[in-house]
Amino acid sequence: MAERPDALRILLRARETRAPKVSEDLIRQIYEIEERVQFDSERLDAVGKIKRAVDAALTKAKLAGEH
Amino acid sequence: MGMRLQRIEMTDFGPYYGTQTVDFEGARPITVIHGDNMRGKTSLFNALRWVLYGRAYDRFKRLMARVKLINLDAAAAGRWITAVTLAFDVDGTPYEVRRQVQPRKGVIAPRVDGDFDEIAHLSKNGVWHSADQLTTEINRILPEPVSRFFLFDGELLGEYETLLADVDHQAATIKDAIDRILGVPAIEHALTDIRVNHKDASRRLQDLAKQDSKASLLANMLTQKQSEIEQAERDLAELNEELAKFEERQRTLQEQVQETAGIQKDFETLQSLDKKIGDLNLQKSQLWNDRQSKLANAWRDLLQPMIERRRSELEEERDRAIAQVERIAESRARRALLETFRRSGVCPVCGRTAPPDGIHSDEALVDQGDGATDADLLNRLGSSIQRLSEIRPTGAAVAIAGIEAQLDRLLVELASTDQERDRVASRLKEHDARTVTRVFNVFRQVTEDIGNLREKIDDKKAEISRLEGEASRARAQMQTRPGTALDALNREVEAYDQLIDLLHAAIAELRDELRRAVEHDASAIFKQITTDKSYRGLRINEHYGLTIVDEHGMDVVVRSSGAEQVVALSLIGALNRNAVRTGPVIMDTPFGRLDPQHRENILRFLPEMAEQEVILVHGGEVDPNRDLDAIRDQVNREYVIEYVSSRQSRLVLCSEGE
Repeated sequence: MAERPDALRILLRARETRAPKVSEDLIRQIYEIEERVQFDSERLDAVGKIKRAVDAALTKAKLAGEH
Repeated sequence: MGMRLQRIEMTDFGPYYGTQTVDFEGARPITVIHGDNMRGKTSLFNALRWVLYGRAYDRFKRLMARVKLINLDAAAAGRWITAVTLAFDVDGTPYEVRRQVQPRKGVIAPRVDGDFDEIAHLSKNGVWHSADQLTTEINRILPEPVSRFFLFDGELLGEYETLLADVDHQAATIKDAIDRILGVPAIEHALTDIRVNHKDASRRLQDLAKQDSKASLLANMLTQKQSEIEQAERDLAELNEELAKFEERQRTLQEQVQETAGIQKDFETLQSLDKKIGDLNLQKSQLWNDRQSKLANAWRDLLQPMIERRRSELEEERDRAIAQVERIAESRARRALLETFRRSGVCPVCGRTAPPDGIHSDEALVDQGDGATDADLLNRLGSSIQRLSEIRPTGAAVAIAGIEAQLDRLLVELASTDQERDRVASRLKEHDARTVTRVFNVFRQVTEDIGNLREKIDDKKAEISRLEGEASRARAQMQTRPGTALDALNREVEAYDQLIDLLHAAIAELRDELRRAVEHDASAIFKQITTDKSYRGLRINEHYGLTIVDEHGMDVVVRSSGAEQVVALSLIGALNRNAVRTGPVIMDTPFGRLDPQHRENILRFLPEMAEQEVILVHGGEVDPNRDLDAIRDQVNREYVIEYVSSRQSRLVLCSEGE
């Protein structure tokens, strides 16, 4: 049996070349938000949750002096 | 996330009178439910679907009315209530779902759906929740769009063949369901949501940049691009909205088309029967005319024996008359000789002289007839014989007998065709051919419109992508402008830019990986199940359609319905291995088209297909005493649906695994 394709693993792999400044942690958070609501018709406040996660990641990066 | 069934309890549901239970719990994975046709296998299958999603379908895939869910004997006894309770667990969390229909207050004998109230509850960890919560939870555990991979029958397996063709409505629906079960929407939604945030951050960045004189030019350009993007997105949203409406309309029409497919067929049958009746009547009329024309000469054949007899009599009479005429002629000649002899005294024959007293009159030579009369008689007889000879047999009697036989056969066929027409016409009494045709035409038109809309959507997406590229270049220039607030916003927009790029790439990669994984697993399963070991495996297309590949690496174009089932089961097996949701596989009459060897191979494969399986089978497809030997040690419980009456069936536990 082949290993099941893992969306998170693919996202993290793509991060290395496509979005190196975006942290792995942010990718994980975004995926978890969407994974949790993927079968919900209303998908709750995924947009807002992602914005907050991105803002937090940028602030964290700024504080760490990465930018 | 994995669902595991524990127990289903049905009360007055379909043929299940009173309360009847099937227990699925146990260490072994397979539950087998045996039942002859019309006993209640599909009702049990429907009970599972109905309790989870509130929908049950009849054998024509039409949504069943609530009144039809209720056991007829229970309804006759005034119990217009049916309920199903399903207990299951998801990764160790216990759930119980209960759904019930009952007459609305004041309704005594409900007939239509509106006469009923439907009540549904969900209990999670022993705490009961409302129907809304039930829908949300079930959507998380086993969403209805992906239920086709867990709850299916032999007919549904046939639908996967459409994935090999160009995308039509059905193929698009199945592909969407496959995407869902494989988890593609999670990152597709991420892209959509990040675009929303990206747009918001870009707007804020532009507003801020306008305050910087050098950046304002770029900001204005960006604003312009952004405005064009927004317009294009609005257009896209409108198109998507329109598409959704058309697809909804198509779904409704699809149901109507399915419902009216039988009626449409009946109308076609009626037309063809009318034509047949017309043709038969025409043939009847032709045969009738033929018989009439044959009858005009038939008297010749009927009178022929009498005519022959009479002609023979006349010929005999004529022969006698001729003989008589000859005798008279001879007598007259002798009399003339005697007269000459008497007058001359010399014999005209020998020349001797006779004594005077020796010559006397011979009275015997007196004329015996009238010459003229005899000639007339001969003429009359000749004429009569001639006329009778002219009356010849025509063979009409034989021909008429043949026509009569044809007419008899034709009348029998006409009567049976008439009866069939009456039966069909009676079924169609309440339907209108034009309405049915209109439904088909509208469905065709809507399908065509959907195709056109999808093309427009693709064009609009390409336009947005182009505009985004232009905006991105303008933004990149603007991002070189200094300023703390601007820097922060630039970083935010840049992060979203990168995330969008990343997600585009990841979606494409995930789809490719999923297709490869599904192809690999489906091929492995197919080779395990198929009896033709020369096949190399299966090849997947972009819609997840699977083609059999032969030993030379060539596609097998034509495949039997049995092979389609094997391929479909391979696809379902592969999807279950790669799914983000797992659950029990429940199959209703899945082996109908399979030969014994394929059946055995699939039975052996079942324990690998899912952690829990329920198969509903009839004696024709699985012999409990022979076919189940291969998986006996995997069978948890076996039930038999026993006949009680035409309105009642009983579930009987007949074996239980250790």
